[in-house]
Amino acid sequence: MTKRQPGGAKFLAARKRLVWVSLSLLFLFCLLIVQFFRIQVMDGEKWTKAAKAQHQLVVSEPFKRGLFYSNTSLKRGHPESPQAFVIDVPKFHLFADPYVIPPELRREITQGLQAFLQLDDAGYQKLGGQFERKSRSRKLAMWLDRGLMLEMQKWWFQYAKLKKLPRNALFFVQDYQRSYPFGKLLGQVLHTVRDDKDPLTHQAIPTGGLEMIFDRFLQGKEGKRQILRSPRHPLEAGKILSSPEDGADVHLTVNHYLQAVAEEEIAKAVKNANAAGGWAILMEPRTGEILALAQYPCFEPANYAKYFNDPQLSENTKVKAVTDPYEPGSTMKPLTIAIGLKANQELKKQGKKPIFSPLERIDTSNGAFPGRSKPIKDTSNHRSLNMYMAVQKSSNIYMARIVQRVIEQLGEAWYRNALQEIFGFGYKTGVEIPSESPGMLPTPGRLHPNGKLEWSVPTPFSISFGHNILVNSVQMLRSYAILANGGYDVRPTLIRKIVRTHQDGSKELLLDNTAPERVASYKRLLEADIVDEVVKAMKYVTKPGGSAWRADIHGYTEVGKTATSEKIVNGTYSKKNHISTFIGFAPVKDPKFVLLVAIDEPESKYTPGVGKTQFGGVCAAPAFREIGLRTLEYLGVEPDDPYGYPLGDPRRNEEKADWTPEVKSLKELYLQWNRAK
Amino acid sequence: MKQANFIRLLVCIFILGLLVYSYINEQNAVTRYRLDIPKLAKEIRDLKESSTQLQYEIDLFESPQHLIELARHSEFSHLKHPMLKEIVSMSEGLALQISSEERDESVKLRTQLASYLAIGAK
Repeated sequence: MTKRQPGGAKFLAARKRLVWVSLSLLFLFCLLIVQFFRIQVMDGEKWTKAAKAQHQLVVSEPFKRGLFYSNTSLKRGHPESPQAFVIDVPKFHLFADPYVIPPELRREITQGLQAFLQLDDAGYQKLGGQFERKSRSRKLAMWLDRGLMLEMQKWWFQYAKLKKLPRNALFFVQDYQRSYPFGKLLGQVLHTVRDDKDPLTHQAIPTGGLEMIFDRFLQGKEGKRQILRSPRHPLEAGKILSSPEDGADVHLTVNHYLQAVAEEEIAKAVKNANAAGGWAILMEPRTGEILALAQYPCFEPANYAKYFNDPQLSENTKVKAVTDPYEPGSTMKPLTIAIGLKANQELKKQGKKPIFSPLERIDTSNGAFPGRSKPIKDTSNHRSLNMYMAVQKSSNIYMARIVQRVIEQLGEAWYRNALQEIFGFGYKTGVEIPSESPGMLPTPGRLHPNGKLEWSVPTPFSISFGHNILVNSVQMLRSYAILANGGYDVRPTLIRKIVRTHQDGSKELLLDNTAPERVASYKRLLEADIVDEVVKAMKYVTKPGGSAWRADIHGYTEVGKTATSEKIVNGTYSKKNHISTFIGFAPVKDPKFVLLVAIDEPESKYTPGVGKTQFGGVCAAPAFREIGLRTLEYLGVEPDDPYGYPLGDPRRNEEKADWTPEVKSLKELYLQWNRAK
Repeated sequence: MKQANFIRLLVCIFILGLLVYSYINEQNAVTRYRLDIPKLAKEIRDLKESSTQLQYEIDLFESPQHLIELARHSEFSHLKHPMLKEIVSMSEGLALQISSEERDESVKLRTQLASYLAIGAK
């Protein structure tokens, strides 16, 4: 073995080569480091993004829109299990990718799909047309059931395998459809959401009603999930970037059973009266919780497109009790006497004489009033009446006389202010329905669209019996609720509470109308003795001799008032088109509900033994009795007039029945004052 | 001496092997569970959805309109809404403490109230 000499030429050359190789390697390594620095640090963001785009995918996690729940806490012993008015049922939409389907197979695929979708010729043509579009995603069918989807998928996978087509040339996308287990029940109030969604936010688009008012609570929030593009990493295994958040649930004051009762009875009443429509509102008089809000003809949320595409049917999509003001007619009379009695108290405070006494005999033979070209008339002529008779016989002249005295003593402004501040006329009630009309309380000095003054000399006399004033049905119901609850303010509502349930199961109360503080904040608007007198007067209305004996709820005490108003058609009062109403409450001592029944345009004819069919006492009062009776039975309220049954009923005892002696003595007095000379 | 060290080394390698094996086995089990998660999650989601679908179908049948219709049939004519005074409520704790004598009373009361079942109020 030869030993190399360190100083040799060969050794030096080798060493030189080694240095060069090392330097070259070092240089290359430096280049690598530089490139590495450029990729990792300088362009790091760009390449990270590119890598993520190639390997990772962010998908949206669906959320559920909030639901509406019935009020199941009305009676003791009632199961508290939640009952939804609407359920989001999982459904599927069918899409196609026409780009990857060869033209020669399109007809065959269309025929295959037609068999599943059961399309007519027009539908078949439309479906076939979708495959001709230059698009990667065409919607072929919407809202398919899971069962149908699985059948179609099975057929398609076999077909795609046979024809060597990509399996995802037809694909399904899951969605939740707003479904209504109770059909049309509460349709106008709930409304629905459109079939299509907002393309940017993926939120449902409400068509109206509570869906629209509470949209911001009902909306949920989409979640984000990161997944890897690998067949070994199915979607669910991905990393959750943000959890989906379901919409908040709205718990309504409406009870599904009472709503069904009200809808059934109002439909029956409208059909019996051969009317254009009708509505009924049932409300708890102390809390203002609306227990039922029925309207006929109905609106089916599931078929919303049919209603919005037909101008006549679109009328049925609104809640007329809130959106359509009307002249309240005679239902205004109990409110007029309440204002008269309030005026008595005001004058007493001022040390003056009262304007009238409930038992005072007031001349009602002459209907002439200042500013009126024509005298005010009553349905029947009465020479003189006291307050109880005036309400029982529904006298216009008596009410106008009372208001005339109020104005003479306290002025027009005091009277108008009482209507506005006590009963809230001219103000919205704030019930949670879109497009509430505030009605129209005439204002001195303001002009009507026709150029005439809203408030002129005879206006207060007309208002006294419900003319020249426009109100919505909820305003009237609230006014009667004030009488029912002993004179306290009340704010009608459809909402008990709004609750959001988080992913971890915890609940967040977003709105609570059940808190006792809400009712405790209601101020007294009328003194108890005034309310007692008005209620006493209204008791005669549903008894023999009154204008609405058909409203008498057998076995229970009730009060109320009927009205028949002429509708304003083309700017003038129509003799043919009426709106007939009955408003009342029961039982009298401890009212469980206050109920308004309105029949829109009942047929106007005379039936022997019945009278004029358009009168509220004929067409609206029976619906009040039926809804009232079934409500009291449902609530488990014991009859408080156990002898107050109709003739022929074995439970009837005329001597013991409620209010019989009072009715008899009032009748005697009436005959004494009004007997023909 | 060398033999003893060799045995020690073998024991160490054996124990290390066991530990590594058990670690890998655990990892495999975890992986199996992780692979099951998506399947189970899908199963749960499907069950929840079919539960919603069934709830919808039950509600369709038990809609108040349908129950009111049913209540009009002669075979259900004995049913009525109970009066509030006919409903007996008691707290759960009290119900558990009830004595045998009281239980007999409660059976009687229940029989008496059987005909007062609420209708149309699910």
